[in-house]
Amino acid sequence: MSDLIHDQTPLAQAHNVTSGAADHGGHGAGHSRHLAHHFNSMSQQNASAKLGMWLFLAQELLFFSGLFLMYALGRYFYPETFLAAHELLDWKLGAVNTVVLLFSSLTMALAIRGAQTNNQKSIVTNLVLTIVCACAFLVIKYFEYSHKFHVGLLPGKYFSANLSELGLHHIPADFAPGVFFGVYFVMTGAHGIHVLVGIGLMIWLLVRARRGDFEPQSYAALENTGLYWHLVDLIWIYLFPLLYLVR
Amino acid sequence: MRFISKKMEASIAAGGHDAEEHHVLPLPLYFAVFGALLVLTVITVGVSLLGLPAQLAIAVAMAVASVKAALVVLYFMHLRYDAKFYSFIFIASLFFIALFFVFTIGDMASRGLVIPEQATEVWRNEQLAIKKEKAQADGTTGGVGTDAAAGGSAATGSESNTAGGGAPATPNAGDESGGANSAGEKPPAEPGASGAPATAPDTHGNTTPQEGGGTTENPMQHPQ
Repeated sequence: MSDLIHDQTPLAQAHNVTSGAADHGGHGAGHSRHLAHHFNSMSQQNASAKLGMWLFLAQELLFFSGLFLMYALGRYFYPETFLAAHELLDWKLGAVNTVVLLFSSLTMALAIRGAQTNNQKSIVTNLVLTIVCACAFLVIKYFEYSHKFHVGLLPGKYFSANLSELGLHHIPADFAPGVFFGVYFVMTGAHGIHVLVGIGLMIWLLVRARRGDFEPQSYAALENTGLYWHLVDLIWIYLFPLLYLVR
Repeated sequence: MRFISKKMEASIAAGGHDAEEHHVLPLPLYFAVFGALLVLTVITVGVSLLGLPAQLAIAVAMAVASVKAALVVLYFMHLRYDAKFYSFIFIASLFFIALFFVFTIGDMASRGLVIPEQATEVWRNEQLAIKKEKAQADGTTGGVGTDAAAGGSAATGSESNTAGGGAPATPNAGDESGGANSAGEKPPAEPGASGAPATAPDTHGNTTPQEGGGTTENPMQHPQ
């Protein structure tokens, strides 16, 4: 028990509220302007925010795990289709997107480091880089999607691509490639929506960063958005080989 | 039982301000992690181009992806340096994901052991039979059925019926026979018998030819 609850966790700190009552009244000099009244200290406030974020991320993982299970079962029922389907996707575009997203994760981490070291310029620059990468990711995805719409590589009954015209004679036409594209569009679509949300959050952060909102003691919004962004990266790390590479 | 660690007590004594609130990681560490992620990406792509057997390829791909994920979580997400409670939440979610996968996949894979008619291969044969029936109903009698059958058998060079094996196969388990990891669950389509509903292998080891040349027959009915 004592191993689980460490110094910075809200659980320990909630205990601290009762034991450290004397400290509570002193919202005067020395306290950050960002400290909300119902928190005891900035570290408690930040730890609470981060705990909430991690719980949300746990939920996100469970949400995506359903989609990954869908992939696993699709593969189980239609092995030939799933093994052949990588030829219908361009792994080079997928690889470029992987690098773009990994780089955006690096810049996001550097933006947070900028806040920790009170380097305002670094926060802004790295946030801008992260947003640019996120947009680049979506632009590449747009090209992939529009190509698929064009040739009819669509989910379920909407699948209308002529595989032999695409030069893929060896893919058995009697095993519903539409199933694979259902999985593909749902998984990459859910991921793409997360990227969009991330861009929105980072624009908000950029506005706040330019206002000078983030200081070494107070960058919870930046840090939590960073955690979210790394999770989006994490999902893609699995999506890329599963959809584009496995053969 | 201690609810507050020594460090926390010190922090309270210092007025609630935790001196070591955040670990500022050195810049080279971030770049090293990013470099490692790039190298691992190259490895994933490289391995996929080798043309390993499907089961092995996916195992390697997932292993590499997991190393990458671990790097992101430990360093970019700071889990290695943060309070252990966040790691606990993260690992707890992984635990529940594992439960989710194990039970669902276990169910799908082992149904045939308990209820032979619900084995995956039986399901697939039924799907194919339904498809053929539809094609016949559409008036394209014979032609489509033969095409599909020919395409089907051409696609799987290593077609092997489970007939004779006796065991109600759990299709993918431990099968590393290359691209055709579906061996055994492929419908045993016979190009010659045009239009006839595919002879479905029942899982007791003998094939049960269903009556009728092209008559509409409910493929869901499996003679036992």
